[in-house]
Amino acid sequence: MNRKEIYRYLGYKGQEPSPRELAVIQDAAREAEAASAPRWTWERVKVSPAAGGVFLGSWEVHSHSLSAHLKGCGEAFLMAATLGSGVDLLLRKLEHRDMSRAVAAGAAAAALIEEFCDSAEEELSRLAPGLFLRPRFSPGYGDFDIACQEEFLRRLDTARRIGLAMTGACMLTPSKSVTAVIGLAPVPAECPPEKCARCSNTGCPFRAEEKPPVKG
Amino acid sequence: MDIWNEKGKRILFFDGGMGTMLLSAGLAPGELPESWNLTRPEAVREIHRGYRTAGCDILTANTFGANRLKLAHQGLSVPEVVAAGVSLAREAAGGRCAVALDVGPTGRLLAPLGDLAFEDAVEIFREMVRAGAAAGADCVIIETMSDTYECKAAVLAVKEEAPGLPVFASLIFDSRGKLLTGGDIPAAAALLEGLGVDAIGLNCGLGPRQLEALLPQLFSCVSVPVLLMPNAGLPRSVDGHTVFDLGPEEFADAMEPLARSGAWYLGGCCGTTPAHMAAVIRRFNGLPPAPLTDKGLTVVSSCTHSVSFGGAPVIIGERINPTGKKRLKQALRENDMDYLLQEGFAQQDNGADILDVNVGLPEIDERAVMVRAVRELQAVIDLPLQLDSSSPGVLEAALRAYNGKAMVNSVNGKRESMEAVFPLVKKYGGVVVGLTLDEDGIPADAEGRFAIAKKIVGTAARFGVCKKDIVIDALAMTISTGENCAAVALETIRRVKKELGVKTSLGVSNISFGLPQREIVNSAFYCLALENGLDAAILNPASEAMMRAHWGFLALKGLDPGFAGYIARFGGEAAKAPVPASAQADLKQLILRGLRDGVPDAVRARLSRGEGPMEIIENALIPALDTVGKGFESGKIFLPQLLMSAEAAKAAFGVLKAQMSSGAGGAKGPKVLLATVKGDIHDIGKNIVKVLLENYRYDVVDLGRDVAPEAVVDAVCREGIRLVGLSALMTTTVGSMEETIRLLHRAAPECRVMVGGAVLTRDYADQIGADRYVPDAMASVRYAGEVLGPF
Repeated sequence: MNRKEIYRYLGYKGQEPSPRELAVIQDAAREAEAASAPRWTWERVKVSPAAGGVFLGSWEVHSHSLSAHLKGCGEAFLMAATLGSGVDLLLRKLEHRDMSRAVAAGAAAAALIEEFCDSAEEELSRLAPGLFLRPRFSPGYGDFDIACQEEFLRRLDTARRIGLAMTGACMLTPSKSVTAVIGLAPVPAECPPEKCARCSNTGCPFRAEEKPPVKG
Repeated sequence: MDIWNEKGKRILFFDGGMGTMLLSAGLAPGELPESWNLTRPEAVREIHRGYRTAGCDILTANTFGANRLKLAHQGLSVPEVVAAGVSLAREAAGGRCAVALDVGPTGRLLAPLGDLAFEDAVEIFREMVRAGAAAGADCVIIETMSDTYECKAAVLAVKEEAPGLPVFASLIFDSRGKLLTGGDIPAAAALLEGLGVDAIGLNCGLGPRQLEALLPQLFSCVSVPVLLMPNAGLPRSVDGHTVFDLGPEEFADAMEPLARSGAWYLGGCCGTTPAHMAAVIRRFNGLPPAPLTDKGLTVVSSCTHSVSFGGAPVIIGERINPTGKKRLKQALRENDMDYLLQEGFAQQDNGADILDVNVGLPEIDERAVMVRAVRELQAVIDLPLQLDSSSPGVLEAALRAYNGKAMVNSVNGKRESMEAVFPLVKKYGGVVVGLTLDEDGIPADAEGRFAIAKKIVGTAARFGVCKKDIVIDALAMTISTGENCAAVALETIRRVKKELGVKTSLGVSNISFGLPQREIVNSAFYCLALENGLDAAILNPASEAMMRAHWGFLALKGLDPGFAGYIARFGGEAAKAPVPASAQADLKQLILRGLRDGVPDAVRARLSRGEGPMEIIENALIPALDTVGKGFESGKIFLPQLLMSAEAAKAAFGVLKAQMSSGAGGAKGPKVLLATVKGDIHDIGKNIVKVLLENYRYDVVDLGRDVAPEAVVDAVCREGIRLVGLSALMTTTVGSMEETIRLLHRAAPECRVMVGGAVLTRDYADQIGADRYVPDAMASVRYAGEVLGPF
C-alpha cells in the first residue's frame, strides 16, 4: 500500500509519523485490507458531442467540464469500483473502540480504493490497445452533476454486479467506492498533470504540494 | 393452481432471463425494463409465450424493479406497472402456468450500510405485493438479493400483504459462498427458513458450474425446498455487449448436477433464453426432486454467520441486562448506547457466541430502547443476539428489527406466555428459550420441570414452531435454599435431551446465589451441566473461572480440534510479561504519549495516594490534553496522535466516572449537541469532535447521523442547549445543514451553531448562516470554550 498517501489523508504534510503512530497506522491498514472485498465493473461507450455536454453512449450528460475533459476521445470507459461493505463495518466498529485506529483505517481504505482503481485502469488499458486513457473523471467534479450518480449506477447495474448503490443524497454506499468516466483517445494527453494539480478544489486540506513544472 | 400439486413430485421449472430478452428486443441501455409493461406490452407478452412454449411451469412477471424508488422519477406508478406486468404473464400463461410476482432489490442499501430504513423497505415491497396479489399473481419470487436484511423486509411484506401466496426467496452468492454484504449460506438459510419461506434459492452471479460448488453447503443446512437459477455461464464483453458463454445445450449439460442435486425448482437467470429453458426441460422433465429431510438443526444467525447448538457448548453473554448493574441502568436512562456497545465488544473479545440483550427498566420506554439497542449492536457486532424481554410487544419490535434469526428469551409453560410468544417465533423465526415454570410456579423436582418442558414443546408444535427451534432452560435455583437444587436442574437437562430430543440452555450463575466466592461453585456446576448435556449457558464471559472451565471441558471432550482455541487463549499465558513498565509511568506522560492501556492503573495509583478525582483532572488530564491540543493546532502533532491521547484521557475519565458517580464532583459540563445532518450517513468527523469535547468534559448529546432538522431543534429546545455542532460531507447535504441552521436560529436564537465537514469552507459556512466554521476537532473545542465559558 502507498504509505505516503495514507499519511497525506491523515493530515501529515510530508512528515514521518512517530513509531507509535506508525504502529497504529500499520495495524489499521492491515485491518482495512483484510476487511475489503474489492469489486469493479465497467462498460465501454461511444463518446459524441451534445448540446451543452456530451453523449456517453445513449446517455446525454450536461456538463461542460466532462465534455472538455473528453475532448478528442471517441470512446470512454464507465467504471465503478468498491471495497465493499466490510470496510464500512470495520470503520463503524473502530469508531466505537478506538478513534485513532478508525481514522487510520479510514485513510488506509481511501488509499486502497485509489490503488484498486489504478489497477483496474491498467486492465482497461489492455482492453484498448493503441488508445490512451484519460484520467478518471467522476460525478461531482466541475459541473458534472453529482446527481448523475444515479444514472451512472443504473447503467452499470452496479447494485447487482458489485453491490454498489447510493443514498438519497447521492452518497455512494459502501462509502469506499468510486465511479468515473475514463476517456479513450488516439493521442496521449499533452501534459498529464498530477492528480491533485488538476483538481479545481484548491482549498482542499489533502491537496498534495505542487511540483514545479519540468522544463523540456 | 394445479401446478402446486406437482411440487415435490417432479422438478418444477421457472423461466429464464427477462432482462436478456428485453435487451435483444431493443430495450435501450438505461431504460427501465418494467416500463415496457405499459409501452411495449406485446413484446413482454411474447417473451412470456416463448417460455410457456419452452415448457416452463412458472412464468415470472416483468416486475423485478417495479418499486417506487425506481419508478418514481420516471413518473410511473407502482400499482399500474405491477398490475400490467402480472396481467401480461397471466395472459401468456393462459391458465397453464403459474405466474410469479417478481420482486428484486430496491436498488438502495438498507441502514446501516445505506440510508434506507428497514420499515421503509417493508412498505416499498408491500406496495408491490399488494398490486401483484390484486392482479392475480399465484406466488411471489424475491430474487437476486445481496442483503438478507432487505430479503427479510420483502418476505415480511408478502406475509403481511398476501399471506396465502407461496413465497420463494433467492440470493446472489459469490463463488466463495458469500453475499455482497458478507453473509454466508448457513446464516442466510437460518434467517429465511425462520421466516417460513416456501423455498430458498440461489440465482444470478454464477453459472451452473460455479453454483454447483456451493450445493453441498446449501443442502447440508436447509430443510425447505431449494430453487436454483444460475446465469448462462460467465459474462464477457463483446463489442460493448455483455454475452454469456453457455449456449442452450451447453447450459443444459452444465445443469445436470443441479437437476440431480435434489432441488425442487430450476430456472435460469441472466443470459438464459427460452431455448436454454427448452433444452433444460427436455433433458430433466419428470425428474423427481429429493424428498425433504428436516436437518433438525437448532441454529441462530447474525447477518454474517450462524451459531448452531449441539456441538461445542454455546456461550451466551449475560452482561447487557440491567438487573443488579448500576452503571448499565444509568446508561439506559441516559440513552447512552455507547456503553452497551462497549459491553458487547468486551463480551465478544472474551469469547461470547451470542449476546443477550435486555433493557427492561420501569422508567424507560423499553420498546424504543430495545429497538435502538438491536440496531446499534447489529451495526457493529456480528454476533447473533438473544432478545430478552418479559413483554411480547417488545420482543416483536426487536424481532422485526433484527437482521438474522434471533434467540428469544423467553417463553414459559404458562398458557398466556405461550399464546403470546409462539406466534412471534412462527412469524419472524427464532430459537426460543422455554423456562420450566408455569401457573403453579417452578416445580421442585425434575419430574415436574420435565412435564412443563414437554408441555412447551407440544404447545409450540400447535403454533407451527418445531422443537428444533426451542431450547429448554431447566432453571438453576440457588443451592443455598435447597441442597438438591443442582441435582434437579441436571436431571431435568438429562431427561429433556434424552426423552424430548430438545436442546438446553441455562443461566448458570444463579446456582451460587448467597454464597461467597461464587465463581468456584459456578464453574464446577457449569462443568457438571455440560457433562449432563447442556448445550448453551448464559454467563459472564469476562469471568476467568468460567472460561477456564469452558475451555478445559472442550479440551477434555475433544470439542476443540487440535486444542486450537485452548492454546490461543492460554498458550501465551506462562510467557506473559509482568505488568508493563508503562503502568508505573505517570498519568500525564501516558496521556501525552497516547498509551491507553496503562492509564487505568495509573489513575488508580493516584486515587490510592489520596488524590481526588477533580485534582487528577486538574493536575494531569487537563494539562496533558492542552499540550496535545496546542501541538495539534501548531501542526506539530497529527490526528492519530491527538486521538491516541484523547482515547487515553477517555480511559482515565472512565475510571474517574465510576468514582465520581458515587461521590461528589460528578457534575458534567454544559451540553453540546452534535449531529450529522439529514441525508449524510458518514459521521467519523462528528465522532472525532465528540471524543475531544468529552475529553474537555462537555456533556455531548449525540443525535447520530442522518438527523432531520426538526429533531435537532426539538432536542435543543427540550434540553436548553446553547451550542450545536453540525457536520456535512456532501454538497448535496449542505442544503439540509442550511435548513437546520435556519430553523435553529428561529426557534432558539441564543443557540450558536458551529459547522464542519469535508465540503465546507469558511465562506460556505457564512453563506448558510453558521456562527462558526470549525475546520478541525480542536477548533470545535476552542469555540465551545468561547461560547459556553469556563465551568
